[in-house]
Amino acid sequence: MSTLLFIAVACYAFGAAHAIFALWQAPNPRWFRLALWLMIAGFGMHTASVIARGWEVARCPLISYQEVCSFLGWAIAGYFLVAYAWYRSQAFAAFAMPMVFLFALAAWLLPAPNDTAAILKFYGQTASLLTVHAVLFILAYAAFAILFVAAALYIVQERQLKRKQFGPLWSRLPSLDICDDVSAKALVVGFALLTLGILTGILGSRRLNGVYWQGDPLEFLSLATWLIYLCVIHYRLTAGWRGRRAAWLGIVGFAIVLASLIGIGWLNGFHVIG
Amino acid sequence: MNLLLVGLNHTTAPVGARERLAFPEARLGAALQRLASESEVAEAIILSTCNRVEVIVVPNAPTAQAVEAVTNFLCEVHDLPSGQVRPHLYVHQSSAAVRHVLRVASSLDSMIVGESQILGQVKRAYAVATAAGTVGRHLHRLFERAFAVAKRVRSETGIGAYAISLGSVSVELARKIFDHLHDKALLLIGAGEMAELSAKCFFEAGIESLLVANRTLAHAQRIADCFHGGGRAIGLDELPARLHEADIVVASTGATTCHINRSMAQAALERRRYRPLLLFDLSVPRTIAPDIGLLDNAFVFDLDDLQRVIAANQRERRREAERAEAIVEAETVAFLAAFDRPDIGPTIAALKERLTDICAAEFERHRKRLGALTPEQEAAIRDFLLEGIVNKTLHPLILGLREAAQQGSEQIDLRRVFALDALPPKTLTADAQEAPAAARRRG
Repeated sequence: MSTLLFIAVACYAFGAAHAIFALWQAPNPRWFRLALWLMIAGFGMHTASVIARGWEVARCPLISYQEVCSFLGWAIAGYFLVAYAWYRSQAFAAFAMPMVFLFALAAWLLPAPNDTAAILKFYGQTASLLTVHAVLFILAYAAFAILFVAAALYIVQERQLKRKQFGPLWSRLPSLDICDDVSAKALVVGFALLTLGILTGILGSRRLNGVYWQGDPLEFLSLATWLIYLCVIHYRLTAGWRGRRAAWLGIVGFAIVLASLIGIGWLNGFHVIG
Repeated sequence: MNLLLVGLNHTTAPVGARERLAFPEARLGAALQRLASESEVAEAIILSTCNRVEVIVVPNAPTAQAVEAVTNFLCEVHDLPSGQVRPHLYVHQSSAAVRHVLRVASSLDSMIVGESQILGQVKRAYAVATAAGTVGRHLHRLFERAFAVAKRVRSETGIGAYAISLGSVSVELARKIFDHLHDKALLLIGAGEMAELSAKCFFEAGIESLLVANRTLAHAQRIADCFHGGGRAIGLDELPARLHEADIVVASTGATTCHINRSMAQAALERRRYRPLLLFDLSVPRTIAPDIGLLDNAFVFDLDDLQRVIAANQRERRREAERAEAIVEAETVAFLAAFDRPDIGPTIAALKERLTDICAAEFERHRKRLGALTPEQEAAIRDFLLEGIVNKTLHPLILGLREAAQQGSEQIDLRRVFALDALPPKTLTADAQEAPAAARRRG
């Protein structure tokens, strides 16, 4: 697995570097094509590494911190490729690819888990349900990562337009409309997955301990994430909120997502991880 | 490469001189034929635009003589004394001429660097010269290369990407906010020339819906009718009620009062459910309140803002032009290197034709001996067997020719190319291995 992951990390690194260079020297179709192929190759290798890991340990590879990072990077890469097929925005690649690279690199650098058997034993009968819970959460987090990139690009450009000071990247970034559209789509996907993830979590908790709410810090963080994105959806639908305000809330939401991700490892409560 | 370019452009000649030396397209063919009839000239193309007149020739005589012939031709054809022509002319030869042609086609030598019209004009000049029969192998190769280089420069640098006119900058800003414009609505306030020019730019960019607001309704109607008849005219008093229908507003009036104030914009934004509203104020004094820009999802640009964008874009264009110059330089070197090699294309084509003819003739001659064949079998023989033999025979020859051409010769070493001294080729090897095995089996 680690060899496959290493190749994926290398592909992502070169892909990200090429994408950034292609953006800086835009238009530079050759460099961008190379970046895209590296990204696709990296994604292929990454997929193989996730499958290989699952095969190796005969379970869904999502029980250790390393596996979470790998899966998250993989999911962001997948979303990015879909978003690229949809919008053909080259600038987006220069921001999404480094993020994918960082998560994949973290996965490669982190030590492999020691004793996953104990964790599986701890979860017992609910392990498969809680695996679904974890997959849904990571897929939702990856969608929020895409939302974060789109929202950040929106805010930077909106500020430039309002202040009428255009930076060097100005003409190479996607339009406000596209940024807003990507955020809206990522929001719907992420929110739906997060809701399902929370529901499966509650169900799993009930089966495991007989209570719906464990009082774990991560549960509070997840609830906060859910509420924030609910707010964004609510205001988008009712008050016609879009653009800057929605983008800022998306960024705050992603900050909590990051806190939760770090929290999986540190806030040792009910959520046990290798 | 033996090439000569004599001409003048906006940097060496004032418009008066340029217009006297220009060739109207209708007279270009005749002028080219007259030029080509000179004994010093083998091939010729004349590029005549409002900013340049350039005569590109492949000379048949020493350079000084050829320059003299071309200069005399320019004077005689326009009936001008040489004193009025010579001071403005520049002369480039060989590699400098190649570089100049590539730079011109790539719009690096234009008055507005990066403008896109010049490539079309160069293509037109080439087409006219081809029709007049004054283009030979040399100029053909040079201009084909120039078109490819121009395309490369356009796709690999942002030389033409930065808008540098008021209209195109407005469209660029609108695209930055709305991405595509075809489903957006444009509101013009004022029916003057500025308004009309902006409307034209936006229509070229794909906008299909237009509202024109003006004090005099008839003037508004006139502009509205100009654009596919899809526009509607309204009075200025209707503005507050109709503002929310517009995504993009362009105001250019001579009015001294404010047409759109903050509360109007606020109301319109609310009715639009905060979909972005982009306002351009091209009037002085301004007729759109600048503090509208403080509202969420409203963007206001006045003339100064647009001028600033233009200045920034011009800087970007210059930066991109430097990259384009590097591409042109590399292409010039590559073209000259390739040109000095003999052109093997025609030889290969002729060789292939001859071999194909021989195969076809032999097949016809021996057709009867093959007995009855189904149409499929016959087609297979023609399309696969004979074609295969031709291609397999040609392949080493092409490689040999190409290799020889790179060394500047046309001689090929047949023994080496067909590997006659080496081991038998693969197909034979397979048979050879087969034979002893079969013998063993028999034994």
